Amino acid sequence: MVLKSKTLGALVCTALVAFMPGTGIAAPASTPITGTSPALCGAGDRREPGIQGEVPSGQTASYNCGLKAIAELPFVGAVAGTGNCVYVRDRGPGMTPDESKIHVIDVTNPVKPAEIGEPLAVHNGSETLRVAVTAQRAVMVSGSSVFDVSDCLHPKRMGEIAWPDTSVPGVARKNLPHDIRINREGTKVYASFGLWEIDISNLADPRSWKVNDYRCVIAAQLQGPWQEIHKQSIEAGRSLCDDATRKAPQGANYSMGGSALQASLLWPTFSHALDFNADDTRLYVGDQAGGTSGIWSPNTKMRIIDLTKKPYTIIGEANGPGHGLDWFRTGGREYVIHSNETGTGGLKAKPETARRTCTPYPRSTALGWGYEAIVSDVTNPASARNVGMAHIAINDPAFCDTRIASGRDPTLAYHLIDDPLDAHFAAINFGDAGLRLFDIRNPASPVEVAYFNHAPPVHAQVGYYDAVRKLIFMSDAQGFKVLQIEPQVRKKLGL
Amino acid sequence: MSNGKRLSQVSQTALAVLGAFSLVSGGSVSARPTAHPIVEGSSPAKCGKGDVREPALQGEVPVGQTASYNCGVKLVGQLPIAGNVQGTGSCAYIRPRNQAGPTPPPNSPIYVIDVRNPAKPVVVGEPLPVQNRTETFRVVVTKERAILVSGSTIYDIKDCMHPKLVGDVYLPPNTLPGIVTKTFPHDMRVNREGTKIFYSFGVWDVDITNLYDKKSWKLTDHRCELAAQITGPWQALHQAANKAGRSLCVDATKPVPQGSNYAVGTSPLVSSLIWPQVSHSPDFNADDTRVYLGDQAGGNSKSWAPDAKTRIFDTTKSPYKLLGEVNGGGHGLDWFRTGGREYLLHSNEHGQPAFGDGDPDSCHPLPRPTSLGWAMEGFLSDVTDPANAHNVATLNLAINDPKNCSTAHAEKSDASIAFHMIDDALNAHFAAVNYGTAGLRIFDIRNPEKPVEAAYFNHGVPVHAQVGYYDAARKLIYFSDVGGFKVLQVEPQVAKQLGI
Repeated sequence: MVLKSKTLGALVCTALVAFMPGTGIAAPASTPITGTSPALCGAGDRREPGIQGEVPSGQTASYNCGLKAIAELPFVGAVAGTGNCVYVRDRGPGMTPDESKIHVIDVTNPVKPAEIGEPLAVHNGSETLRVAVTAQRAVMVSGSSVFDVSDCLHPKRMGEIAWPDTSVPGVARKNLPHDIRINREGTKVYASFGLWEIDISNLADPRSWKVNDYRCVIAAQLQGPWQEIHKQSIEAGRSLCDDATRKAPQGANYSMGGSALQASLLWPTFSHALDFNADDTRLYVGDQAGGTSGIWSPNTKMRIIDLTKKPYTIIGEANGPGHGLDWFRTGGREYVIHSNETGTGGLKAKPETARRTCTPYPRSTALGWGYEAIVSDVTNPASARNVGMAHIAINDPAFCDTRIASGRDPTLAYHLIDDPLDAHFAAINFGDAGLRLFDIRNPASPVEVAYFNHAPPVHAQVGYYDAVRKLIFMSDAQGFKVLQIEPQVRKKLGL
Repeated sequence: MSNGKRLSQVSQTALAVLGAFSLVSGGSVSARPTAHPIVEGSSPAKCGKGDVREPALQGEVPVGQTASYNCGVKLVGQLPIAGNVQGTGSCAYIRPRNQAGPTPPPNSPIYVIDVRNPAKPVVVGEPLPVQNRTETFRVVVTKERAILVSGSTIYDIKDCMHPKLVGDVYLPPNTLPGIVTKTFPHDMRVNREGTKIFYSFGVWDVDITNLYDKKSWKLTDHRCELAAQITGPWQALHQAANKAGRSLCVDATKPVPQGSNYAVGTSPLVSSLIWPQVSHSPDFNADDTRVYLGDQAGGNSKSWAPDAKTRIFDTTKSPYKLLGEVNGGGHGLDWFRTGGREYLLHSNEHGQPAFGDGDPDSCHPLPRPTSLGWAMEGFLSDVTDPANAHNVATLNLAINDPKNCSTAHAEKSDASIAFHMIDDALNAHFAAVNYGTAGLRIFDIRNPEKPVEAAYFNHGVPVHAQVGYYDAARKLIYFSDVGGFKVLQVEPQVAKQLGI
């Protein structure tokens, strides 16, 4: 598409907006928007016909640029992997991750992936499933189910984490764990909402897996209507987290409130996805400013928590959410890429949301504003700050009419970093815009280098990158896919 | 030790001790020397002929004795019905209470007593059924209306011998998981005009202006607006919720899962952090433009508000606005006017032997804590100017004086206050104070800075929540102790002293 001069003018203005402290996230000055994707397509690739991320009305997404599908299987779900093994977790009953099954896929031959054995039953769903592999151990966790994946084609069930059943009266859906993450050492599992930690150092002994509830110590450090309640109760030795462990009428028995409103006033969300720095001494979490909680915390915040001593202490924060959140290191500095979820269509099509992306920067990053991922420099937690933004033109204000006309709602969910300790790219699940690869080696100016859009990726599919073979394993609404990074992109990324 | 020798020692010690304290702001309340009634060991009450004076210290029942003392008031009639007492004119009302049990029967009926002949009180008709029990029940009589309210039940008592059931107000079922005992209503009071009923804990009112139009009775939950004005862990929560138009009091009215359906929390601890107690026994100024509410600093709530406070709220506009506060609890609370100024008599409940909440002990020097269990003294506070409300004196008994605590311990004395009754709130002369093992004690409160005991009656412990009634025309006090309903005559020398 040829840009008109008026549009270019708007883009120049947009590009001049610098990051500002406050409630919204501004477009980075160093990331000019060109309208079309700067991705490096190869021979035979099918470039997007319009602007970056656009699927024009009446078209079916079938675009790829810099990424080729080399194989697929009809499994749709969340994806994680290790070595030549990939795990795809189906949706469970009611499209929830509860009581679902994980397919074990042998990708030794990437063009002929094959399911191995019977699917693994997993319980107490978490939005994502995660795998952590170190020299000492290889662990996969989904909800409460813990597997040893040292023999990755034959996961061994080690036990179930005894997540408490936090509840709100009248709400049947389980809300713990909501999402999970395993630390880099594979010794602890962390869960949201709030902050829960389970030590699985002794992987073979599930009885030793103790659940620690850190919601209260963190809530006491967060401004909001809950803060004094938690500060004073902890000071009095009457923490609500201890109270929660007792059965009624002595305690709350993990009931979070007499109503959803009470629960939101007592318990800040403060986390969704979780991630860690290189040595697991810091935890990064971000809230979403959604639902009733959004009333009390309308501006999303990503926070940094020191895990080296107790009580765990917040040592820094930056603006922006954390539905999807990934730590990485590049150029000797540390960063977090973090984003919210859902957009104009994800909120049951409220008429007023259709024109949300027309809102100029800086704009909200609350739930329903999952249009861009923020990159924050967290090297010095006390001075953590937003430095860049991974975004696509279709979500920029200048193209909001085009977006509306397309009838699509490209929004973020999760992302995958190729190598957190030496990052090159982020593969971002961008909804109707498909999977988008951004070069993040200069985090202040993420640049798209490739994309694959044959259908919206599964919301909670994180994916897995096989660095040896330069393969990305992912799932969209049509099924599990093996994507090959094309040579020109590899070269560009220095892979 | 002989009584005479001990009295002398007590007198000297008490004076020395009392002289060492002054009124201070803070969690405890003491009295400056001039403000304190001089506890001279024995009661200064004016006994009449035939009265049986206490043998020793004021309020003491020596070991081995059964309380059977009176001084300045005489028993003229009685009935074997023990319970809470109210009255109007020649009618008294008794709602029985099982003193032996941990909790009273939930819905004891109310007996109507004809006391036209005070020497021969008689029960009239069948007891009146009442619902949703409150700790006290109350009678209010104005020129326009006369009503009796117990729990949710309202009777028209214009014909006081033959109350007429008007109906029951709707009271929501505040609940806590696993707690089967009703937590609401706890206590109540009718305003002076008889147009609104105020309920605790928290503050709720029901407008019954149109007494015979039940559909017009409107329940208003003021807990959230008050909690947002009271310092504590709950304050920021309620401020934020109210400001956002998401009051927890509105949330409470909605059924699950839209709202809490009046669940006050998920545990007693959570409930105490969200909801300040605010009140136990409310009372009002002369024209019902101010409501006085005192908490108790007890149970879990004590962790967040360890010092009992009594607060003054402006009820002339919504939301009710906090105007002032004074130290001291409000289990029993009565407003009165005397000498052109306005006062409160307010107190907590329970004392030694320990109620199990802070080990109340009369050996504790003054000033003492004011939390639940520390009801050895009552507080008189000047509330004429709410913004400058302040304690002016305490009501004490010698048996509760720290220097007499070994005696109190030996005798297992529990001379602690529960409720009180003012003879005429608009022109007060005396307070009849329900003083536990010390019986009913009558204090001259015309000079509130120096309350002086004028009479007492102790034939047993008064019923905890009996407030009583004073028939000014005949100078009769209707009340009940564990032995039953009693009609007491104020003796002439006391009437003369009190100017009644």
